[in-house]
Amino acid sequence: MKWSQKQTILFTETISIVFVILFVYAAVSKFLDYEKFTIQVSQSPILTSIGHWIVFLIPTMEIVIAMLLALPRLRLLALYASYSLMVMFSTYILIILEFSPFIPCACGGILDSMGWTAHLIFNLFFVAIATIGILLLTQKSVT
Amino acid sequence: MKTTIVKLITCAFLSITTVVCLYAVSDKLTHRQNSFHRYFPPHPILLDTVTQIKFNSYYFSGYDAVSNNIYLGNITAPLHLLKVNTQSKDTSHISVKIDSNSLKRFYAKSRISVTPPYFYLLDGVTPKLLRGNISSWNANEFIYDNAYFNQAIPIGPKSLAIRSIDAENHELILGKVTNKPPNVLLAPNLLEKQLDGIFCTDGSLLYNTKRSKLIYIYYYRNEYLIMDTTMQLVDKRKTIDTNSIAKIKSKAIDHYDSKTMAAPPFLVNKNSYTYKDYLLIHSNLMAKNESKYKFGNSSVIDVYNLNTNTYDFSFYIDSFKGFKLKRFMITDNHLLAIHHNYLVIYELNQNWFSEMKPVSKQNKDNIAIESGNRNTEHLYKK
Repeated sequence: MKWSQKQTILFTETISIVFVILFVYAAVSKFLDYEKFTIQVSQSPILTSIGHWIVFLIPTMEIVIAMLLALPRLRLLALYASYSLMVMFSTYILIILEFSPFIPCACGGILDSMGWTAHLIFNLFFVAIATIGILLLTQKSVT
Repeated sequence: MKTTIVKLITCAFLSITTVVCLYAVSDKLTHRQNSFHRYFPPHPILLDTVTQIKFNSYYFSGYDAVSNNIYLGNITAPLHLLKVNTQSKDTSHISVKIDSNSLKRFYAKSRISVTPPYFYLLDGVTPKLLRGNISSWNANEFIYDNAYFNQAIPIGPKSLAIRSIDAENHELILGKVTNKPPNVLLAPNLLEKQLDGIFCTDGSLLYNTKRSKLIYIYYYRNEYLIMDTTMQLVDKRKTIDTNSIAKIKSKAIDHYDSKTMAAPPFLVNKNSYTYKDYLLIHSNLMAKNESKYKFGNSSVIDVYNLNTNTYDFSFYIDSFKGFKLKRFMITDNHLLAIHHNYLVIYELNQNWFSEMKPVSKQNKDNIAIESGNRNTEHLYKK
């Protein structure tokens, strides 16, 4: 039992680190090329009306979640937040693929070069590991 | 465990709802109706035949009214032409030959324009202008060709109208290339700048052989210019919608030293084509009396009469096998439409296209010139 708990902690920690890397990378690359990111977002057919807001909100949220993930006490909350954010991104991609007549991408760095389908799979993978992390953490607190 | 799953599902649900709501709000803003009406007469065009043309990179190069041949150029194969007979529907391939010294490389922007008895090879990037006879398909230099351009259209055996970028202010400008010095005549002040002079004045340049007039149709406002062959403005006319100011946002990205659109452009007039007394415009805006469903599944063409200066009527070209209309042209009896790699031929109902009736099989007068085409993504934003 002791061993499994150790493994659980290791697991959730790995998941958290992966998320931290993802979010920090994504946020930093957005801030580094802020100008381009602003234009890409405002070109998005889904975000036209609220684009200028999103531009600031998304990378900030990513940074905040990354910081929360680093704190063990708030890790569960942060994982829920990561999970929700990834679900949102996936929904966005689904809508773009299904309904939108033209498709700009606004993810920074290497994520830019991914196709939309690859991107969707990538996101769903993160949704999955967030789910695993949450389940492990809550299980631990029950025992 | 159970509560966790409930929480996860709730989170997912809320997240999905948020994004869907954002989309719904934007969608409502972008698909708003416009305050103008269209007139749809019954069956102005009737489906004739469909030909598979193998590639989706074909565009209309020109029309020979005497032999009823249509020429299709290919964007990715600049020296290749496909000839389609509108009566027999026979197709044949043509390879254009050039004298090897004159042009080593072609750019994607190079176009072939067929106006019997000549064909022209127009490359505004190199830049290079070549001409040949359609009996031999051999292209040679024939004119001063040091002017860069992004659209060009022959308006006489040895003169072309061009659209270029002004070297000083980096804005779009119309002009003319002739074989008499000073060879290049630029006509500033024809295009009216509303915003940045690049995107806001973008449009397609056409030539109406019958009337010997140049027509410039703005993409982003409800206006087109009519000019004579000396580049003098003859008239400024409105299309039926109400969008007189280009609704676009452009932004300079200093880091890349370039200008780009900063919001989805509000496209008014997509492709257009002129033949005889008609100007046909593929509009991007939905009128008040149209169903969103029909509008979304087809392309609407507005027919203007250049002679009477009126809007005559509109008709739909349905999507073919799920592909929307990409380019189109008309001849005396037919409307030809390219949908991806299909060439769909419609017969014109002469009751509606009455100006076509005196089918004069004379000669040059019946020559149409390829319309400015544009594969701008489908967006109707207001």
